[in-house]
Amino acid sequence: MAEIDTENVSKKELSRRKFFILISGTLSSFIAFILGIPLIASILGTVSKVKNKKLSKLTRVSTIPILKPVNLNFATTKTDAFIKSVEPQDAWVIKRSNSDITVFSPICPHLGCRYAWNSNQKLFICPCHNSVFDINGKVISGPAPRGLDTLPKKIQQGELFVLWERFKVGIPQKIEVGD
Amino acid sequence: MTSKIWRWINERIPLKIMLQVGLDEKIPGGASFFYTLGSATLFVFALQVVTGIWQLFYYVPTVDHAYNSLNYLRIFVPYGWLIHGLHYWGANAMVVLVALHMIRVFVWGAYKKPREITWLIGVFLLFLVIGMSFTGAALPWDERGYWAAEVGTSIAGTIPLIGSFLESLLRSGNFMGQLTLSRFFILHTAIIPGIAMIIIAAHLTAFRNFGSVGPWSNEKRKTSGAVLSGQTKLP
Ligand code: HEM
Ligand code: FES
Repeated sequence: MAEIDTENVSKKELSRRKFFILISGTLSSFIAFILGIPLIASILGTVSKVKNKKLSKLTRVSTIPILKPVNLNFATTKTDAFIKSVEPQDAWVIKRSNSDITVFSPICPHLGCRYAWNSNQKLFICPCHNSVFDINGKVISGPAPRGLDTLPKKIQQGELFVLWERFKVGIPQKIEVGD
Repeated sequence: MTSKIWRWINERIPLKIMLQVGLDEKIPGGASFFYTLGSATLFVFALQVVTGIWQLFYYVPTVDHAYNSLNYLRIFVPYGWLIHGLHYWGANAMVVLVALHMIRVFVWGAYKKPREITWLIGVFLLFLVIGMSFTGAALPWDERGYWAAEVGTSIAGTIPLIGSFLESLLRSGNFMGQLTLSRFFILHTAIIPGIAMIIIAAHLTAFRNFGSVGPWSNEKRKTSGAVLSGQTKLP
């Protein structure tokens, strides 16, 4: 092993050595710092997400019964990072006429359970904490802080389309939750 | 205060001696910047390890998502383009640096006695670097990577006697597919770098045993001392 004999080196030589140690130490730290920025930012930084704004086809308008809420299934396309997938969802649809249709999110605005239409009582009832809503989504009783959430919809050539959205539960305002 | 902590640590683990052994290197007089090529290769190797690990936060080795996951890294992840770019150009730099380093130790005659094993270990490292380039290029599973792997494994297939066996071993079957990508992935991220780290340690140990070969002119060899102790000049 090559030992450095510091005893026999001149003072000038030693301070030169110290200087080089300092310079290379500083430069190395600087390089590490600059390289560290992208590495840390890539983990902590918010990843820009692709927002999914595609309508899903529900059914033909003519097949929906008048003034009788129906639960309909549909497929949404979901983008999770680089993986696109199809997810099943459902919604409550109320038709008053061929042009007057309401689509409710199936999620209770109280704390997120799934409510259902009770055809005997003609009311939407949530099994979790007994929130009760009328056919227009208005709160009749129970802890729900707001009425049922409507989903954006569109009628095109006799077909009903819906846009799947999620809203924050437990508060009086209807605020969309992005992914 | 710092010297107190420093002493406390050194009474328990000989950090000072470890640093000295690691950093203080006696080299013959007439040192030149050509001597830094090995260290430059080592630095880029370390950079490849870090940027490679970072890409694994996003990359997935499946035939249907490999390309999309890399695109995602490059387009949507903050500085993802830079991390990917550093790894890509680092791989190119690695090949160039290894070649330059090899030329320099050849010109200086560092392959001669007693450094034959240092040289032979070096040759092994050269193969590992080529192996890294080959397996890494396939990982994006794009046209370039796919066909490079197809051609490369086909070349292996033309070897007499063991060719077909080697080809299907690399491809995990007669044709390219998901298992080919899995094999290339694990070779590139675990097996080859793991071996490389051990071999680099052996390379450096062998190198340190005799120190740098130094200049061929006896005049220049007379002065000697620690690295950066006054004899470093351009070639
Ligand atoms: C991953 C690739 C490699 C790394 C990281 C690496 C690293 C190093 C380092 C840090 C040194 C000491 C400093 C120097 O003299 O440059 C060295 C020396 C040496 N390397 Fe490499 N090396 C690699 C590949 C190779 C190859 C491909 C060869 C030749 C086939 C080789 C042959 C040698 C020899 C003979 C020495 C001794 C030089 C002397 O005694 O002056 N190395 N290597
Ligand atoms: S979640 Fe529906 S009532 Fe509480």
